Amino acid sequence: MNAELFHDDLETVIRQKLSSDYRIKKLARLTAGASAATWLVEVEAQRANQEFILRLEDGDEQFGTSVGKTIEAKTQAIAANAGAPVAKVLHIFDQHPTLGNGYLMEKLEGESLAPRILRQPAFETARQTLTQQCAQALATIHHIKTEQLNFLPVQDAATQLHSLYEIHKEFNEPLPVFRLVFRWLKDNIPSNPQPRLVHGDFRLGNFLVNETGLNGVLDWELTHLGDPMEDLGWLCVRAWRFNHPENPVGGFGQRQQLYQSYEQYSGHKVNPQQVRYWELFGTLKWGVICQYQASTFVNGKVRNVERAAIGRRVAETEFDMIHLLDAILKEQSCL
Amino acid sequence: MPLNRPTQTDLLQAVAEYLRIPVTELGDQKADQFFRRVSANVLGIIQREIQLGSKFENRETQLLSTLLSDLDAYGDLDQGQNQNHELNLALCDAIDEDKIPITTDLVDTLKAISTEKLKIDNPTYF
Repeated sequence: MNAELFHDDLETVIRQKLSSDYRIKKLARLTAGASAATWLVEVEAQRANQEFILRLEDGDEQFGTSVGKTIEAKTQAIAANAGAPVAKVLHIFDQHPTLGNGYLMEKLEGESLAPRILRQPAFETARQTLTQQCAQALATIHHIKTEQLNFLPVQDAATQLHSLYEIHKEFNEPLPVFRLVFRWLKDNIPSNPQPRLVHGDFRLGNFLVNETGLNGVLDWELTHLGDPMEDLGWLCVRAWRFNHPENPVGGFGQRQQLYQSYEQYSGHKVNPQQVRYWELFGTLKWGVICQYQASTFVNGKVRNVERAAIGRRVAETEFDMIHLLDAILKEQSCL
Repeated sequence: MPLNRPTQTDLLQAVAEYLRIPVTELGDQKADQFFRRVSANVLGIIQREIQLGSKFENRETQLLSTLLSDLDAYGDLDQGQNQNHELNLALCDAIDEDKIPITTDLVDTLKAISTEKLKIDNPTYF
């Protein structure tokens, strides 16, 4: 997407909504994801210059159930109001003639690259508080009253398993570990009488972290109503430990601390087996995503070597899944 | 569980396509450094597949045949070139149709095969 196309319209909105003396000084594209583009907007003002973030729908790649940018923005705004560490949404674009769907938000400071957060000495203190801060953020998100979120889809385990299985079958690779895990997950869905707000992609890479810890939770495009334990399980999936498997929580923390802090902030008891269910579920989902990304290389849609390489990460997910299932079954004395 | 796509040939093609990008179009150095590393990893996978591929397949044949020999459908399986493909399909169907119970044998077999496979795709993962 070319900035010239929407520069003037964006400036008009900024002047109307924020301050009439604002002028856009610079528009720089930060990332181009598969379904979104993120822009840094530098604004010149009489008193002090300001920076904002613009996130727009861009690209036609949709995996599974992303909700679209206006719904993402509405959810993020509600989470911000509830006190979760997320950027304030300043304006939502709904089928705007040049900007399309998207939103303008405040710019939060912080590092998002996982290897830096996990290794650089500057984040030493942050790493020590991150587990507790993640638990607190999740407890806040999961506590939000769902009556105000009726625009979100309910994506419980059964619904998601069904759509993941359909996607997986399309790839036509006979992978017994996937089939076994699909079957076990389908037969062992934990009870979740009250669907809650789930972030859906809560992990390093989608956090802004500064020296004191978690400063922002980004990327709400997979948000839905469902089992809150899904977020805890996803955070423990090995792929999101970024080469630090010894720290099961996101590469930085221990399970016990996550559960204890979550119980403290939410007032709800955590069932470790339910989190393990969702960790296995998350590993399966990541496996299907790897297959999907590789398929975009094979069918010529996204022709780059990174997409090609990711197909061979499926082996990691099979290894993780069968070991996790083995551990779960032995714990439950089913083997 | 067969080695996943892309196939060895497609992986080589991906690296070749990357190497054919003119230097002037590579973008910034940092991003390019990433793609260089990915390309080297991909060549590592291909190298290990050449070294370990047939050993992996033989072991998979052996493990799956032993596991599936009790299944009714086992006798009808093609024992030819695509034997592993047939064995994997048969096991997938048996799992989908609830015709094979979840036993230590099943889980241990899949653990062993996934370990052998990962020795090709990413031996640093263990």
